[in-house]
Amino acid sequence: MRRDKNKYGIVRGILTVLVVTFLISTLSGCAEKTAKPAHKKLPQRARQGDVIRPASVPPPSQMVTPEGKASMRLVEKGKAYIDSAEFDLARTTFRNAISVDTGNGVAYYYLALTYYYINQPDLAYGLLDKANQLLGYDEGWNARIEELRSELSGGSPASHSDDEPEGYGSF
Amino acid sequence: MPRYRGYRSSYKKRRQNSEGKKSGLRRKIKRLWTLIKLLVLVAIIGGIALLYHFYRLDSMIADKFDKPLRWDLPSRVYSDADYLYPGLDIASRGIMAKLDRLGYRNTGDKINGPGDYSKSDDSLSIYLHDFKYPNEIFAGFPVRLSLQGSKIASIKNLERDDEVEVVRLEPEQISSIFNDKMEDRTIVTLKGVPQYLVEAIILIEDERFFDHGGVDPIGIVRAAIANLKSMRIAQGGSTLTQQLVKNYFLHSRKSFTRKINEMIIAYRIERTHTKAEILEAYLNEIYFGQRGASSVSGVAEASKLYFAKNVDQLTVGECALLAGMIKYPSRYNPITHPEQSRERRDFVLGRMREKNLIDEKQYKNALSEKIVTPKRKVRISIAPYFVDLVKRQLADFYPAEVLQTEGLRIFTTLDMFSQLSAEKAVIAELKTLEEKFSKILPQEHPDPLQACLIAMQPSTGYVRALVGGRDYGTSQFDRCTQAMRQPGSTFKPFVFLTAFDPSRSNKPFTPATLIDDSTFEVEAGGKLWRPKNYDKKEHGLVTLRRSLEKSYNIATAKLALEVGLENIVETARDAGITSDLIPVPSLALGSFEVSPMEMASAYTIFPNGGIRAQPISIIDVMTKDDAVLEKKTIRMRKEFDAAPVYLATGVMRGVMDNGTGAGARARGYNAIAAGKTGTTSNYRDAWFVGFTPKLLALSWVGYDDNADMKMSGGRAALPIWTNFMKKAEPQGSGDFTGPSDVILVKVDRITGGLLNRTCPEGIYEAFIEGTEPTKECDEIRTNTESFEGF
Repeated sequence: MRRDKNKYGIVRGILTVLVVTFLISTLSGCAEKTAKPAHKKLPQRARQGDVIRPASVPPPSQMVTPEGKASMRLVEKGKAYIDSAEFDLARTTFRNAISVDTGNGVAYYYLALTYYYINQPDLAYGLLDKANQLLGYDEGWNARIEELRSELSGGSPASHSDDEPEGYGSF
Repeated sequence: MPRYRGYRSSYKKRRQNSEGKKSGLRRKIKRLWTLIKLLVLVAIIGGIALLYHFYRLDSMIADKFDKPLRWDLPSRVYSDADYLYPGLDIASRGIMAKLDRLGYRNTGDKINGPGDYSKSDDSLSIYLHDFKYPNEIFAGFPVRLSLQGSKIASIKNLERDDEVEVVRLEPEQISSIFNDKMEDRTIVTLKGVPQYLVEAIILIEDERFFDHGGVDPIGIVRAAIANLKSMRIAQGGSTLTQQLVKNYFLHSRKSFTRKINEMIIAYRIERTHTKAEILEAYLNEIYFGQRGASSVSGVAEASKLYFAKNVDQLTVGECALLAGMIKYPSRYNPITHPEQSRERRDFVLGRMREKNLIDEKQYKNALSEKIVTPKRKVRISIAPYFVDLVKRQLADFYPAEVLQTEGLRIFTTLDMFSQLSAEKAVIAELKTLEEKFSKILPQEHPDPLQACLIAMQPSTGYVRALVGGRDYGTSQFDRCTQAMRQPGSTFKPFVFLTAFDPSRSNKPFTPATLIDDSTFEVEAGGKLWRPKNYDKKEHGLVTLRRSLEKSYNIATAKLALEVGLENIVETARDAGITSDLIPVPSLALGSFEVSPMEMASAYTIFPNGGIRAQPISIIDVMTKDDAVLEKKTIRMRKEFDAAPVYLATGVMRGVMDNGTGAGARARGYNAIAAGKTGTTSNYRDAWFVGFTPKLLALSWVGYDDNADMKMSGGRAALPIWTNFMKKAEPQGSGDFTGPSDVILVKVDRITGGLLNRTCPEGIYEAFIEGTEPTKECDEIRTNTESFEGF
């Protein structure tokens, strides 16, 4: 019995070693696969952190610079003018909002919207391009910009949605 | 017979005598008749002449006065408005100086009315002026800005006792466009003038105004007696109507004819106009002194000049002072002669009290009023080159006569703080250059070194500052918009932008692509053209980044040929360069001519991510009746993909940090910025164009006659740019934002290859995703022969 027990012990040991070896080799293979970069030819150093993304535009909700906040305040004022159909005042106010903070994509969007309302679409396209440059990373804003763009090329003002993308409405 | 003969002869004599007497009488009568005829003729001619004179005067009155009253009103040019908000540093934006320029009065520890301000360590209180903006009438209210250091912590509306987030300071008047009369005036109605001012003026200038018919004989006698008594001209006998006539129709030279005409016209006007009409005309016409070369006419303009207030906001004391000033505007000027003006005010107040126009309390309060005037403006016209640009732009729609007489209000994009900083930078740095490099500059050159500085807001195209020369007084030629100069190396970024844009270039390039900076020749126009570097050397294989940072001509020319010259021309056109561009090899080195404004405008596509905003300097034009005539707008268009623009901008950042623009860093400008120097052949032009994400500025230095100044862009133009940016954009405006299809990969600075053990240090280089390098640095080194620095 003792001999049998030894025999089983040797076999178990061999099996354990084999399993461990198999597991190590399998796991190490997996590890290599997950670390592989998207671009095949980047060497090890580049893979480990030498590739980064450039600075991007902060979302309007994170606009914390003094001029950004002041600019958003003017945007709110301009929106009120749109609501009361005072488009000349709205136009001036959004233009001022842009002048205070030229990085405020929301102001470009609403200035484009004002031109849409006063039937001057040719002035709105470029502003939408700029709004897209500053806000296009955000799905909600991207959709609004595209919606307005399509309306500019044929839609009617009445069909435009005034729903603010979530999180960007109150400043 | 003899007797008869005698009789006959005596008869003859008698008859002769009698006939002689008769003919003498006849002659006398004839002479008298002739004289009478002559006199009648003279009387008729005189009468006709007099009638004609009356007719002329009457026509003149009908033409000038019987119609709704018209004055030639100068057009006024305004800067852009400024905004105050929590977080703004009032010191770095020069807000205190701005308040002084806007005519606000420092009233010490409290503010009482419009135009007042008071400053303490932790707050700034301002009683904002009323202002008519296009489409909007702003009614001023008092605000208190709580300060933490020099930064605004919060803003409170003192009238409503609540917090406000943004406050607008009205635009500054930067210039008036006059005709040759040079009269500055703000029209006001009689109703708009305070009663105390009207009463004080009538009391002091023409007490019997309502009792005479234009000419006041009693007043004349009284004045004559008073003058005789004092043996000097102590009083004038002119009525308000006569004073109006003198100022409005005639001239100030003293003459008998003028006095007669004055009386005739005054009499005629009184017959056909009400006293109220005459008084209103007088209040708008009367002379109140000089502001530089222009005269200040009317109570409304005087009120602005001397008290920085609208006329309806004047106190009793200020009314008395203005009324008292009419006699001798310069002697009683409260800004230049405060003591004499106070005495005069007190005298007028005394008369007002005597006549019960004010009660005792009002009298005492007015006597104790401190006379507070705004600071005297040293400069009457600011930004003269910019104003000329505005005039030229308006000239197509508004003839000079309209601009000079119709009282238009022209709102512009000019930022006063940037403009003043730009003017100072140009003057200071040109002076330094001339002192520091006096031996290098041409000796005894007839004309001084000139410069131009333009600042633009890239995302709107707003021209924020423009200095077209060092001294407008000596040369009105605007070197920013009227000069055509070779741009030299400042054109190179358009070559690189074309190279980085796969849709524009014949071959794909990245900032890490290597190019051979070794001499070559190419045939152009039947001749061999061989570009040379500024340092007369060749540098072997260099990355595109390196070749732009160091402004290598050979590498750039070679790149241009590979990219395609026609493609580069198209890029320049899309960026907004409209001048003649010929696709020849030297195009890459800026061998054509552009205006600095064109160049500055074209560069805005870099900080604006490929979107081109049209330059704009006029925002709105309003009539004197507040109707908006002209509405200019921000016009922009996407011309380039954002990714290649970001790559080119990234390389230009290197110009500032490691290349020919590094002088800005040495001078202490550390904000994130990008730019490019430019120097043309024979050192005729020195350029620098640089930008942060939110402000772009271009500086140029050179001689008007294209003389060689022996200085590069980095030496001559960069200091002006740096001086300006340190004031206008001291902290910069954050980082340039990158599009989503761009990645930054760390590469070897020299080979552009990926890093490994042999090249452990590198820089993050921008690539359009999928175009990043695949070879490591040592692999590139072994396959190539000559690298700069090896």
